[in-house]
Amino acid sequence: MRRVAVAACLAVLVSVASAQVPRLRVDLGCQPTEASLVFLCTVDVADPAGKAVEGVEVTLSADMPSMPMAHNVRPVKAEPVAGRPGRYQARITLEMTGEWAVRLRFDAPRPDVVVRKLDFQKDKVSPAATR
Amino acid sequence: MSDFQIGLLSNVGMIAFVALSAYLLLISGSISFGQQAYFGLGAYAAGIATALWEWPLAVALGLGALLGGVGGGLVGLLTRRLHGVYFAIATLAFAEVTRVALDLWRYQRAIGGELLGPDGPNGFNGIRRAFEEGWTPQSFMILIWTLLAATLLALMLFERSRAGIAVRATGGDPVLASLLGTDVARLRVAIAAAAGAIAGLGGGLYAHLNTYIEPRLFDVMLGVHALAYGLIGGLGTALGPLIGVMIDIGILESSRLFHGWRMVVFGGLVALLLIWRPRGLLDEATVGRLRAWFYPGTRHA
Repeated sequence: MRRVAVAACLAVLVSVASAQVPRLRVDLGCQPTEASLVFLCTVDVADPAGKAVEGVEVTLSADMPSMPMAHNVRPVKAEPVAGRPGRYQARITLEMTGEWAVRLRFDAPRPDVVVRKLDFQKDKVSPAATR
Repeated sequence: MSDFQIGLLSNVGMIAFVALSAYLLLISGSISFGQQAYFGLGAYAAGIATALWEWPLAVALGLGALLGGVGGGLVGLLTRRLHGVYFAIATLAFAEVTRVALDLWRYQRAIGGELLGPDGPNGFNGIRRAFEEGWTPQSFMILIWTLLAATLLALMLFERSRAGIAVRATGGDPVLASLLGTDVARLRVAIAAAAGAIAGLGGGLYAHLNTYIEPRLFDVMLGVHALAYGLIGGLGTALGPLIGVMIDIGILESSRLFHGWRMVVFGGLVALLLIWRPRGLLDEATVGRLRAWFYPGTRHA
C-alpha cells in the first residue's frame, strides 16, 4: 500500500514538473508545390521570450479528422532553413485535399507534440476555421 | 522500424479495438453502427483524466474503458428488446447524439499557463501525458499491441466458454437460445457493455497517441468501417476483425495501390464478400475446418 502511495505521489510530482516547463512557440504554415498533393510546410520555432530556437528536431505527420486512422501519411523530418534561425521546412505528401490535423513531434530540444489543423486545397492552404 | 511503419501498426492496432467491439455485437446477432461513440467517450474520458485531472495514464485508460462500458451497457439496456434494423438505427442515433453533445461541450482549465480541455467543435488539444512520461511512438505501439493481444486472448477464451457459446447461440437464433435457458436480454446488455469497454480502451489509446481529438473523429464513418472489418475478416474467430483491418489499412491503404480509388475498392470488396462469403473470410465453418485440421480427433462445438 505504501509503495502504491509513493508511486502515486511520484507520478503527480512528475506531471506537475513537466507541466511547468515553458513550451516552445510554434508557427506552422504550408503551401502547395508544383507536384500534386505535395505541400511545403514551414515551421517557425521560438522560445517563450520570442527568440528563435536552433537545433530543433521535428517530424511532421498528418491525420484526417473526418477519416481517423484511415490515412497513413508518411512522416517527414523538417530540415533547418539556411540563414533563417528557428525556421524548418519539410515536404509532406497527402492523399487528398481537405482538412488535416498536422502533428509536429519534437524530439529536441525537448520532447513535445503540437497539433495544428489546416485546410489543404490545390491552390492554397489556410488554417482550419474555428467554431 | 521506420516512423511510417510504427504509425501504420499503431493505427491498425487502435482501429482493431473498434472492429472487435463491433464484432462482439455481430456474433450476438446485433448490428451496431454506433461503436464509434464509445471509442469517443473513452478518448475524451482518458484525455480529460490525464490532461486536466493529472491522473496516471494507466488509470486514465481504465476510466476510458469503464465509461465506454457504462455507455454501451446503458444503450444495451435501453435497446435490449430491439432487433435487426431497429437496433442498428438506435445505435446510430445514440452515436450521433453523443457526437453532437461533444460538439456542444466545453470544459477547459488553465494548466501550466495553457487552456486545455474539450472546446466543442474545436476539439481537445494537448493530451500529452504519454509523451511527458517518456513513451516513444515505438513503445506506445508496443503498449497498443500488448493490450490488443490481451483483449483478443480474452475474447477467444470467452468464446470457448459456456457464456461464449450462449452468445453465438443467441446470434444464431435468439428464440431457440431463450428456450434452451439463456437469458437473452441480460446477455445482450452484458455484451453491449463489454463491446463498449473494448472500444473505450481503444479510444483512450488513440487520444494519447495523437494528443488531439475532436467530435468529428467519431462520426459514422468510423462505425461503418469497424462493422465492415468484421464482415471482411470473418465472424468465426476474434482474429477476423483484425484480418479485416489489416486488409484495408495494412494492404490497401499503406501500399497506395489504388490511390484515390481505395474507398471504392474497399466498398466493392465488402459488397463482394457479403455475396460470396456473408460471414467473412474466416467464417464459423472455415474456423471449424481449420480446428479439425490442426487438432484431428477433437470435437468442437
